[in-house]
Amino acid sequence: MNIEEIIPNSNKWKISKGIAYVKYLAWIPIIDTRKGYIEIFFDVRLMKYILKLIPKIDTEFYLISPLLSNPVNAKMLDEEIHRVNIKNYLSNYANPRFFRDFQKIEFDLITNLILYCKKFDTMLLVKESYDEVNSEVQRKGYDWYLNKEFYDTPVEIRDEFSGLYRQIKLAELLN
Amino acid sequence: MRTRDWRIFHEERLFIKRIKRFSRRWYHFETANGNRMQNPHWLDFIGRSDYNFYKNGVTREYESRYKHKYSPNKSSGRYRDPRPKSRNSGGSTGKRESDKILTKRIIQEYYEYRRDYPE
Repeated sequence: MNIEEIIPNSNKWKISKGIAYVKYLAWIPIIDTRKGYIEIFFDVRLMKYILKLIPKIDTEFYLISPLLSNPVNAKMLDEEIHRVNIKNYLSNYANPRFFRDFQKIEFDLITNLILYCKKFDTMLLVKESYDEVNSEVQRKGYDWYLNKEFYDTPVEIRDEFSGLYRQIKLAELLN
Repeated sequence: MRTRDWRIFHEERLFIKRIKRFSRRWYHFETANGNRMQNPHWLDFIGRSDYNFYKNGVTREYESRYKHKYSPNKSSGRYRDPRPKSRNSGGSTGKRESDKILTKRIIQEYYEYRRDYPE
């Protein structure tokens, strides 16, 4: 699939050496096609653009961590890279804006995660990163002035994450 | 010449200048994506709460230094952008900056009303 079909025709976008960039104060990389398939940098900074791009793509694509846009981090071992990517998938799934907007555009992030894991045989790494992200999502604090518990994340996401690992295992069997 | 695009261009220059000035960190640093790193680049600040403050923090005319510098009415100093107060002004206070403060306040009230974070 050609990237120029996906990308809007404006001055804010450019392509050089197989990487597409968006102008957001500076040229920030958003799509990488050097490996033969589409890799999108799953970045919170580019949330607005990613949500517009994903419905346009018909072929296989994977979401990778924005850390890998830095060529210094490309020296990491393959296992580390997969671990970073899987954690990035789950931590951004806990982001309330991504969580609501993916429901709006009807994009299933978990199936995409499983397709990624099956391609690189990294299903064993999911449990570790799930435990790390889930502990952050379910973290609660106590307000001593109001005598009340509080959470950083909304209820929807906490409920989703409590049964997410089971959902991942089911999706693994189905896909 | 001094259109919306011109103003956006100069505002972006200002944000970059502010971020570069305050982005020197020698201790551990966390990006908007939750990745920890050392010696961050100024691009890593985009998306954080600090950055949003530098971008959207509205200052009044006697507090600001840069707005005088890049303002089209910098020679007039304190009282600039005077608009005729008429019934057809559309609720304007007479200045673009004070209008911006007012709209921000209204938006903030609206979202505080809508915010229903669970217990």
